[in-house]
Amino acid sequence: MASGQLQTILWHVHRLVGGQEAGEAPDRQLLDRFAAGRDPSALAVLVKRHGPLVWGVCWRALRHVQDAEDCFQATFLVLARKAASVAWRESVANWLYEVASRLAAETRTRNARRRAQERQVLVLPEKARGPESSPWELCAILDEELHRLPAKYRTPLLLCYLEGRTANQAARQLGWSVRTLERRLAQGRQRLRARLTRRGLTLSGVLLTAALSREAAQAAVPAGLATATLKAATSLMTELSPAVTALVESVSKGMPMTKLKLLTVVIVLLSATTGGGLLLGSVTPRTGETPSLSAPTAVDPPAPVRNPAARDRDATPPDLAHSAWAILELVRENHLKPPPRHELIVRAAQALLKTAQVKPPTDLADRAADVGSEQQLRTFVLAIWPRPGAAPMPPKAKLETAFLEGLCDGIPGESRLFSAEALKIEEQVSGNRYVGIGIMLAVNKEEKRPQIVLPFRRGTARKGGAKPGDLILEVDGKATQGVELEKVVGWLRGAEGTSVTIVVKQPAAATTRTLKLTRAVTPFDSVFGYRRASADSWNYLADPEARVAYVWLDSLKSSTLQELRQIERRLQADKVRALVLDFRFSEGEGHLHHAALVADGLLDSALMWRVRSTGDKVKEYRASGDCLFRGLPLAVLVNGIRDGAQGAVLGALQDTHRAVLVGEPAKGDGSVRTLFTLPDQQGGVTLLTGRLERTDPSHHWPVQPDYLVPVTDAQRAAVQKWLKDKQVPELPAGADDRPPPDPQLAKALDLLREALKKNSPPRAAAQAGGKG
Amino acid sequence: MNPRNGGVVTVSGLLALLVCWAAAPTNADNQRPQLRRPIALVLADGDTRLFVANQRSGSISVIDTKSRQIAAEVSVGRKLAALALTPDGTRLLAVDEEAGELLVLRRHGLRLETPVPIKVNPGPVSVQVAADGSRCYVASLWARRLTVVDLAAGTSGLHVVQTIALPFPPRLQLLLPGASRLVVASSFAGRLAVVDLARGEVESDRALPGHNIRGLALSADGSRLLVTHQVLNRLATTSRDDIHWGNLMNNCLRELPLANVRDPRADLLKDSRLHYLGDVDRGAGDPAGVATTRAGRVILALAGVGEVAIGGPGEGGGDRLAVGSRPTALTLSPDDRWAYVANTFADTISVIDLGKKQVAAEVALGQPAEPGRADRGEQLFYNARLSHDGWLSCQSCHTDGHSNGLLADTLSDGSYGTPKRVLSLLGVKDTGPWAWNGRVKELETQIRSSVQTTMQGRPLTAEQAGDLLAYLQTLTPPPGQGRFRASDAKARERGREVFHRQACDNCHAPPTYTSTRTFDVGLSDEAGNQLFNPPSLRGVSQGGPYFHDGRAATLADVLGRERHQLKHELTASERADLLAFLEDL
Repeated sequence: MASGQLQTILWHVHRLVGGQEAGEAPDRQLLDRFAAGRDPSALAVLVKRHGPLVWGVCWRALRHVQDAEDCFQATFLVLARKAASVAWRESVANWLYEVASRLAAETRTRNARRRAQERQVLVLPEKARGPESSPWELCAILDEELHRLPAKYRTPLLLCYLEGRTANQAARQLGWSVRTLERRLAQGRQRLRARLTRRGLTLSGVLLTAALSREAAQAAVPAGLATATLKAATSLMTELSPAVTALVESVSKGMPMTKLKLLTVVIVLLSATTGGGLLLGSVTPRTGETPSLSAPTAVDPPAPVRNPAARDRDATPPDLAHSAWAILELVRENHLKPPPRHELIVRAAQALLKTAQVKPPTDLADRAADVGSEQQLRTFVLAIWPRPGAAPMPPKAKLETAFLEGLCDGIPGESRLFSAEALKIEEQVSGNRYVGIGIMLAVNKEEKRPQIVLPFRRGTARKGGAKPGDLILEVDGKATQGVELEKVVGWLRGAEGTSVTIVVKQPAAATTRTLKLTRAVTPFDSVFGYRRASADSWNYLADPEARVAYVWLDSLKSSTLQELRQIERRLQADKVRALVLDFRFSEGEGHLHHAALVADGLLDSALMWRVRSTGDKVKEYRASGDCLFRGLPLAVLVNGIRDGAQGAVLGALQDTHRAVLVGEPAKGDGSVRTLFTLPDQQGGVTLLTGRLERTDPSHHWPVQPDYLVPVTDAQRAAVQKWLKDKQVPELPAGADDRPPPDPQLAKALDLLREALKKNSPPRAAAQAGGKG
Repeated sequence: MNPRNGGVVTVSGLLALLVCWAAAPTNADNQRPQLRRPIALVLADGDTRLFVANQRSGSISVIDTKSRQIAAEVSVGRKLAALALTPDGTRLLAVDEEAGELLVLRRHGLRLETPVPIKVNPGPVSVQVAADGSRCYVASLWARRLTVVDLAAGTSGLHVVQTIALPFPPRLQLLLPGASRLVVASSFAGRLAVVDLARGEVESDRALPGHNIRGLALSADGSRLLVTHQVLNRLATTSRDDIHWGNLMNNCLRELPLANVRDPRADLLKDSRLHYLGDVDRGAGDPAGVATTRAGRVILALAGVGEVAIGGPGEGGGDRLAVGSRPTALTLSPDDRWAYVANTFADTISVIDLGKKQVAAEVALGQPAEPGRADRGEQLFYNARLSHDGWLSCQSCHTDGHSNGLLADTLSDGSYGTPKRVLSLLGVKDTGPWAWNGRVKELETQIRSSVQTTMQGRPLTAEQAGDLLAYLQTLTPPPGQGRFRASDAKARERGREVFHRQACDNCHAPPTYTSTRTFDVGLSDEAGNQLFNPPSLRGVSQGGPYFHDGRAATLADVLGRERHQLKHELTASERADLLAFLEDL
């Protein structure tokens, strides 16, 4: 799943769970106030601030209003009770999320037991579960996977996506720098993406949102619940329902927070065994280098996913020093500004020792300075390796990860480690060519069978007759009932061109259907039109009278150029005379290669940019003598996108005067990173290897619009919603896809109409009118 | 193979038969098992007779289109490359590439008289007849010349009127309405020249973003020039992603406003349209012949994938029909009802019902022969199905075994981001080791790797690799440009001395003018590679641009601006002599 699609899920989840609030005091302060004086207003702010998050967790897990309300109340009651006794962090979002998840899980287990008993008595058939229930399975999976993320990644995701905080607000609440927050946010996204992929939810994000939005109305915190909760929490006189009391007790007594955290760790380690990628092995530079380009958070590979189980089985564990040395050599040879080797070794050692809760030796820096070879690094690692002592030793794999992550943290320019698994996903994502039958799958827990939530727009399953809600009864003759989802996903997956036969049925249907499907690439759109004409087609005309078309680039992928070519054909048929290319909220994997392909596609025989890299080498990127949308005046919409690939395209369009840029400043800083893959499929590492230079020396990074058109937060949010909704192939009935008030688009259309009237490109208008 | 003597046709012991045939058509030739390789076709007498020029057998097949039977086949030459019919329908004009002749055959219905050969410039590959039938124009490949032949004076007075020098090795040509201008396309690169026929000179020579131009036609309304060609993107790599999404190689139909073509100062591409043929999962490798109906439908042969595309007005691709192997030429019946397609490797003609968009028949040209190893290799060479999804064939870059002159970013030098000039395969068997870095010691290894990593195709079987190898081994270097000039033998000799004095032969050692080693000649690619295996200089004047990155457009630039490995400065006369020597190789 592309990070953009994942963001969309989160974004919609955010919509689902409700709005933002303005209270700026950190949670800890509020809890202190509440604990000191039982100040109900302090708790009220907290309930308002985090209520939607907690409600979302409870509701998605339980889908039962009363149960969810009980859970919601219990969560805040526990918070109130513990207000004075816990050393709170700056934000309690993460804590609340954990407690709510735990309570919801308990409630679910209890309900399942109860329902089983009830069934025995009543012998009533369960109502067949239609497809409308399935998306909730996905929400549950999303929650489960969020739950399994380490807190440092989960918390920023919760704050920024589920609670709708801005990066600044979230950073302030957590006491982190914005940079740290954005980095962890990106890493968290990537990890979550990888986890969802392993759960068979590859690429499911976009369509999940459709289901989510359908139910959005139900997801607001029910009226009166917040008040009731506040009452319960602040007054000992309130009568609590037995269920709430039991839940509160279960947490207060049986589930201390430390235990919860331990549980989380165990889950993370267990789930990591399916990841399996180990970043160990020798490194060969220049093997499959993939230059990528991004602002700090645009390339957001996960940290290496380690496999402790495999490690323990392995009699001769791979050599940490070997991998670390390989990375150090890569840095020395390729990094734009390589830091001294010993500094990186110190950072790595410090991270390892911190994880082991051991104080670093005072002469650490001196020892690191002596390391001049792989063998010496090995000796160094052995010397500082923590000895078993009073504190329990973390697993070796964890220490090794800490060492390598510490090393990479020390490399300037946001270096990242990729696990082999993450590399593979990254490759498929950027190639936009997942091979499969193209379905989003979840488990129908009552049937104990996999269920097709939605067949993808361009997947073979959809073409072959799969319907949303289909239960999969058999895969190639193997019954699926009670089989783990991952195993079924394994059956369904296979090489391109091979076929798989599935037997499906609609939950309420009496008859089954047998579908023979060929596994094929299931591409995802990266370019969208103005308004959807059908699930498979777009209306591109934003101004039918002036024949001005509109195209939104959601991301830059391998396929983007191809999609633009297809659209050109359509625009020619529509006799389009001018075009708005919207880059707002565009995101992706930040590949310079994709940027070059798209910029080349849009430009005619022009120098696009230069890359100045290690050793002051300069490479020029030049567009060939063909271009798309030849002769059409072009206006480009831009806002705070931070993906450097888009930035490169925008810069080239501006520097060559091919387009006029309208909107707000972008954020990319022109850094070029190269992904060095490691041999033996051991993952990869990204290093800062170059800087992008614009061809117009008067222009700098980040890209500034020619016409600055500021918008309000509300306008921006409305536009974002409008754009992200384009990814949903079939909007829910009654949904409105008309564009919201959009001063930036309006300005672009004005400029183009003007240009058409004057029969001169809009750039000239910009020069005449000055920077607007 | 039909040897000739002194311009008199003797059909290797079949003279008697031929005479018989001239009186009454016979199927003797089409009953003889042989590889024919139909390459060009013309319809005559409305839509009743189809004449097919066969490249390999040097014969012309005559098809009665009503019965869809072979009415006759007659051997006329050695290697036919093109065919035309005079406007009055009385004479067929065939060009024999190997013999260097234009063959004029007077026709009486199905009956063809003994061909009258006219010597033209060596290596003729295409022919166009003026609308009034007074002249025809024959383009010669390596000679880079257009021969103008007077047809007005009847068979007895046929003679060459004029030779016009062309700026590149030509292949296709098309007379523009009005008959005063002729468009000629390069056989390899994306270049179009316009010849002013009245003045007998090239009026413009302009670049087209693309290469491998294999189809020229006028739009239905006569306002646009249609060109089929390919586009190789040097910014893309030969990765599976880039091939899959059509980023590396595109197969195109381009519509150029004829006004731009006519005006030497015009921007050729202004108001032009580029149609991308094929799509993801369904590449349209190596588009070739193109024709339009009066209603504006476009019919295209997709040679690499064995299909014909039928598009509506303004459409590029449209519906696709499977025909025989390597459809190249096509022609339409006067009523636009039928399309006839020459399937070069299948030795058949497909008859397509354009109304129903169906193949109505596939007419075999005669008794087929068992192809040999090199023949099978040749078929693979031109087969885009060897690549992922049919986007490209070997031919797409190594056009007719030569080079499209472009840069391709393959993995053969160990990394992407280092695009290199496509090398010619003409004479490749003698120029090992292979690849720019000389890393490949066996040609077969290079063949396998090209198919698998550059074309992202399935691994070749041992038999396929052997067949391709056998085919490549048949390719010989092109004759240098100097061979077609009345050049000064003394200058060439002095040039040879300069060549040795400058120690050029250290790296470019005769007789192959290459070396088995790699050298640092002061050039570096984007990845810092500096050791390159010197490309062979045999036929070097027919290649270019030069160096791994194509930095020198001409040989003169190699010696002049680049001063490539010169031990000491060349005087003007030394440079001229050295060029004369190199152009003779």
